[in-house]
Amino acid sequence: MMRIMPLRKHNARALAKEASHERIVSTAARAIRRSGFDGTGVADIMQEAGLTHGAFYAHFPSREAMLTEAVNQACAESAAAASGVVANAPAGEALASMLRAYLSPEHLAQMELGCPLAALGSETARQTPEVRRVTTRHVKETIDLVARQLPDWGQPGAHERALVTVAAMVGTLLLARAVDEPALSESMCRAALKHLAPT
Amino acid sequence: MRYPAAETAEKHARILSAASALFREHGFAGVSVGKIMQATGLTHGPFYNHFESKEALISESLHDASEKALDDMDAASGTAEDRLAYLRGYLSEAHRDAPGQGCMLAALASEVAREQDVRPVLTHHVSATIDKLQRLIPRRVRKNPRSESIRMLSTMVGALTLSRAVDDPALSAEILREAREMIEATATLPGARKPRG
Repeated sequence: MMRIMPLRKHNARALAKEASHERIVSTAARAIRRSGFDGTGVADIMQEAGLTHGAFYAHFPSREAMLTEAVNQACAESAAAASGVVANAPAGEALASMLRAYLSPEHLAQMELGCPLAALGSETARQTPEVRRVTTRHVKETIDLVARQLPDWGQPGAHERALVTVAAMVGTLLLARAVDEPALSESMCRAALKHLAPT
Repeated sequence: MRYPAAETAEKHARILSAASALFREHGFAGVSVGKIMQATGLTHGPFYNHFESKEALISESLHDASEKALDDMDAASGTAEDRLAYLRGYLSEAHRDAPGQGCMLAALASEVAREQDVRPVLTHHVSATIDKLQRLIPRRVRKNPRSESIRMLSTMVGALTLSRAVDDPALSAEILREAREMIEATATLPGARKPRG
């Protein structure tokens, strides 16, 4: 059967499967940031992606495998957003622009599209080794991206300052989202920006 | 209640501290009421004599953990050495490896952002911690000690959270060490021990 199937049709089926796979991953990448790892179930994701529950195992061996791809996708989206801000910033303003975008009201409100480190920070430690490996790579890339924007990049101390900057960024967003007083959230973002990205 | 009040209060306190430790270790979804009662050595039955629901237990147990943490900060605000030891302890590998008895913000902040009922408890804890951290910072001439205190708290919570999330021991230790140096540089009183001593 397979051998006499026209190549075109075979390709179309493979492409459709790939499209479904991508749809599941991007749906799950949002869901984990919105509802947490524990709050993300296979049935809900498949429904949200417009697919049958039964089709899931044609794409992933397990829920854990889906979560790994989802966090990978979330990290890639977040890294692309940060790189975009850096690329479009005026000369000498890259880090400040990146921090202002990171601690903006928009990012604060858009947990499901934002930084996975802040959206999933305290849960990540309890996840599978694969999820933690993907997250670790993203932490390193983010530290590098910040370090490259420092005026003394490559000099002693720059990497260390980048590391503390990333911790402060993530900690600020994590707390600013957790508290339910808008004024407190704002003052937290303001305090971080005042120090990290003085205007 | 049929039990003497003191006994009931003691059981109540036991449930609260077991619950807040387990939530900090495993997250809200990762712990059942049964597991908490098992940890207290009590039978499952009386749970609902003490708490209306798991959600009520989450809020009350975090409130309890918050009060204990704030008391610890008060106890640490004596001498300059005490203050520095507190800040160093927060960013230590021992604290990283013992989330059940540690900072509830680092252990649970991302989950709390999704739990409307728990956010007021956490909000109060963040505000009170910011106030108390100001007392741990030496009284130097500063334009805005509150802003400095907020920045310290965010850095501490972020560093501890990331140090637990990553699976690279060297990176994890480095995050804690660098955050510790930054905090020490901010908090070191004249005459206090030099960082990296």
